[in-house]
Amino acid sequence: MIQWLLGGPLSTQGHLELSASTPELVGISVGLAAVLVLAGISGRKGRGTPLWELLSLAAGLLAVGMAMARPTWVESAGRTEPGVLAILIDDSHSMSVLEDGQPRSSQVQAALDAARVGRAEVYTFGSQLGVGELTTYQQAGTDLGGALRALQDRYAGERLAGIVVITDGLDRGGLRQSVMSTQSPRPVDLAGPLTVYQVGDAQELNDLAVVEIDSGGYAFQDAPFTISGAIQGAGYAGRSVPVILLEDGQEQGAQMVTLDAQGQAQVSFELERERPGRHIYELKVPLWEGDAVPGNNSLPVAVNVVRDKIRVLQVCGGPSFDEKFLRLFLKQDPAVDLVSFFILRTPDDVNASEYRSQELSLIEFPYITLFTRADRDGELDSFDLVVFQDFDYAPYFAREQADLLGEIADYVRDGGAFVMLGGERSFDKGAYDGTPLEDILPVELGLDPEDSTDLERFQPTLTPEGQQHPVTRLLGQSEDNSLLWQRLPPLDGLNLSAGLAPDSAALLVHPTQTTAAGDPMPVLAVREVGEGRSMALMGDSSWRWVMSEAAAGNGNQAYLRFWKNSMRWLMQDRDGQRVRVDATRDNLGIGEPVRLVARVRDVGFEAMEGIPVRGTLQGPGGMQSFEATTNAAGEAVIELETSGSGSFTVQVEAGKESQVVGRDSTSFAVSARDPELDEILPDSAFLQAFAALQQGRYYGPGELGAPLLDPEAGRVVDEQKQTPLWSAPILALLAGLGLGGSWLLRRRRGLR
Amino acid sequence: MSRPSRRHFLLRAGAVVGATLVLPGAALALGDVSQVDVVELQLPKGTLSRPGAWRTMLYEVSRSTSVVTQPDQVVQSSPGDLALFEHPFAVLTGDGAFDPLPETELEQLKRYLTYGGFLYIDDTTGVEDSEFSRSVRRLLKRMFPTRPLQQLERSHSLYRAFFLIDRPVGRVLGPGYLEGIKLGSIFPVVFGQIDLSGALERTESGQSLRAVPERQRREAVKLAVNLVLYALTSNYKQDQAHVKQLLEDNRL
Repeated sequence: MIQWLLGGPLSTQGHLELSASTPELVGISVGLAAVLVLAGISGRKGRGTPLWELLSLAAGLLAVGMAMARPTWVESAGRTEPGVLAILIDDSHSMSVLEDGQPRSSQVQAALDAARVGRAEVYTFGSQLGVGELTTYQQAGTDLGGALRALQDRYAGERLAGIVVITDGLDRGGLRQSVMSTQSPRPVDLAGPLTVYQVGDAQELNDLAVVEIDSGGYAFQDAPFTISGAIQGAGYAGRSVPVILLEDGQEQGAQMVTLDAQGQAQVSFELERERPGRHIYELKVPLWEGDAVPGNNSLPVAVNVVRDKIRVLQVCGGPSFDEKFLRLFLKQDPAVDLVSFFILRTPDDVNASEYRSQELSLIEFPYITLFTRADRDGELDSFDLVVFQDFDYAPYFAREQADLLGEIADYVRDGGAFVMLGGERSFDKGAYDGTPLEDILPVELGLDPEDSTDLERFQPTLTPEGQQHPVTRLLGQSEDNSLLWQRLPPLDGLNLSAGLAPDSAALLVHPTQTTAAGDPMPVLAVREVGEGRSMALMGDSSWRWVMSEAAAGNGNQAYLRFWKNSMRWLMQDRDGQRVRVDATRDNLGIGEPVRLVARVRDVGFEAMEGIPVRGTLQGPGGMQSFEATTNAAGEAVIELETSGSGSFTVQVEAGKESQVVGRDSTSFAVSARDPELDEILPDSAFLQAFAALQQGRYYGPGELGAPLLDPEAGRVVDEQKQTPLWSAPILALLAGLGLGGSWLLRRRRGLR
Repeated sequence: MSRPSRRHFLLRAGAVVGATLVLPGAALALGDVSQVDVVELQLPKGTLSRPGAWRTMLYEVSRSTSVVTQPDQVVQSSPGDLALFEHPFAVLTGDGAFDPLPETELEQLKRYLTYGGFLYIDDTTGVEDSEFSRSVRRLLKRMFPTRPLQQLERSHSLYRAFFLIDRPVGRVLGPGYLEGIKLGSIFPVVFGQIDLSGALERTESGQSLRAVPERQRREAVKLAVNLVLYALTSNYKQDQAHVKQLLEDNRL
């Protein structure tokens, strides 16, 4: 009955709490007091004394006030719960490695069963901590230290009964490195004793892998370079293994290597490439039955073969200031290997009879060797650039004219570079009209030699093509570039021509002279011929760009930039190619799409919009074709799926099929390798060291002992019981009796 | 491919000769400025002007080599004249002391030499420690304080630029060597104390102005030709192809 009146069982260990705030309590008290005072004042009019009436009213009001203050009886108590055993299962990809035909992860359940005692809570970890037992064994990272820190945060302030880690020990988050490479590693702050269950047994593992490939990233043309690598064969110590080297998917060589007692071997291949370019090299070992990780049996690397030095042949009809300054420029560039031949004396030089040959330092002009190609034991192909500077061939090889000039023309068509500079022995003056060399020049010949020069000084004019072209781009900003060309001193004279040859562009023209067709007379012209390039500078006074600039205190930068630009363009430096394709990344993971960007420029190097770009992507999974069209920036962006792993070659051709602007190619590699699987042998040493550091317990593979537990671990749980008294019947009863009694006594005294 | 004939060999060796003394025919350069000429540097005192000597040099260059010259073109200029930069071959001839160049002229002459100009300094006194020589050395030390004058070695390109020269001589035999200032791999300044111009200068009728043994005069001409060829080809004759061939022929 009493419990009912009080609203429930109440313990004497509790205490009373009022839910109403202080202002509320003050308001209630004032209100009730006011009611009592008013009742007292009005009660004087009745019969007899109002004492009992007021006492009864006060008792009723007190009960109402108590209810309005919302009293609660609070009883507090605490209890201790047993500690949690946190179990962390390694969910990384290395746990899926096959050992004796079974994935390493198949050993997890036994360890889990052995470890799971008491109040166990299970987590997984790869690169981060996951709640629950759901495992995939596909996570791309293993960060044991991170997982332990996350666990510490999760159980902040709580002492754990134990921490169990089930793993192969291939931590890649830094903890392993810290424990194994630091002289005095510091223990990790853990909330409970550590027990490590190692899964994975190196003795059960058979895996052949290319673990390293090194190329230095680039190699020099015509110089040996080495592709070296490291082979690791777990379970194959002492075995001989064939290693294959692929270049862009094609086999280049094979070697047998013997694995040492640790199952390791080194391999190296020496190569040499005649032409610059980009190649994907790949070392490959066979995939034997039971191989734990098939994806690590090959390893690709990209190598750029670059020019060591640009080999230039400079042939001059006679020493001159123009020759002098060009030679000085070429000689001072450490990237240029210059071979010069100057005709110091011609049949017209009549004074030679006065001197014996022993007095002269003249040497034979080996023109046949110089201008004959490699397939005929000549030297021509050893040069990247041939410069004819005011040189006329006729006095020297008139008889072999067709042969040797034809050799030079073929050399250019096959990818060589040729420059003809002006002078009284050049172009029509040098009788090149109708020779094979005319076919590769950027200007057409055929003028009467006697009328093929203009000896008046003139200021060359930069054409719109010249504004954009890399050869004449001496300054970055277009306006600055134009001003610089206007500032340069005039040239002293000009070799005239019949106009531009096909596929050519004039970069500088004469301000007033025109061709027979009415076009501006070319002063500087460039041409793409087959795979090669040619340039014609129709004067012999570009040296004045040095001296006049120097006189004005401007140095010789304009001249140097002009020739450096010319060399880069002639050498087909990738920045100087009209059509260029690049993959945005060199190495892709398997299944990743590749993003290709093809850039198309016209002869004057302005972006070409709306140009069709066709291409192929050749990879291990076959060939796929693609088409795109360039945008306003002259770029076509192509995204393609890749299939399989290995070397992929992209070839593009821009322009209409009947009018191709240019072609380019590039390579990239797709690797099936997962960095998580670069190392697959379980790291027992680390796990043992880590357990010892933490004063924990280590179980090797197959050992299934009990985990280390902290019997004192656990947590005190606070409990609180609240019994609301304001709704208890006793208050309602007291209020009813007080207020009702007061009302009855008031009526008996004759009041209402 | 056919084997080269003897005629071709002669052509290749540059050994085709003509017995008649004639000037080369057409000018083989586009415009006069690109033809080789000489500028004489003139100072208020201490220097000489010997245009006839340098005309002889240009003439000998024209008739012996393929270099296209303007034999009549010998101009005078002060070191401060911007026109100097239109003539990359300069001479400074003198026999007496001269005053230090003003800083602006010194800087301009240095710029001229640094960017491709060539200067031959000809001491005509025949005296080793002449006033002119001392002035020249002071000038060069101011201009290139970290690059002292050094003797040109016997194997220097200047001595094999066209003729093979054992000893540089002019009107006088001199010390037996030339000196120079080296910038990079070339010597844009060459200093001789052999009165080269004295050996070259002739009368209108072609007679030597000064008594110089004919054999010595001939050697002086060879040196003059080599100076122009060196100025135009710099270290060309140090190229491997040349050294190898000359050694094989026992000419070095």
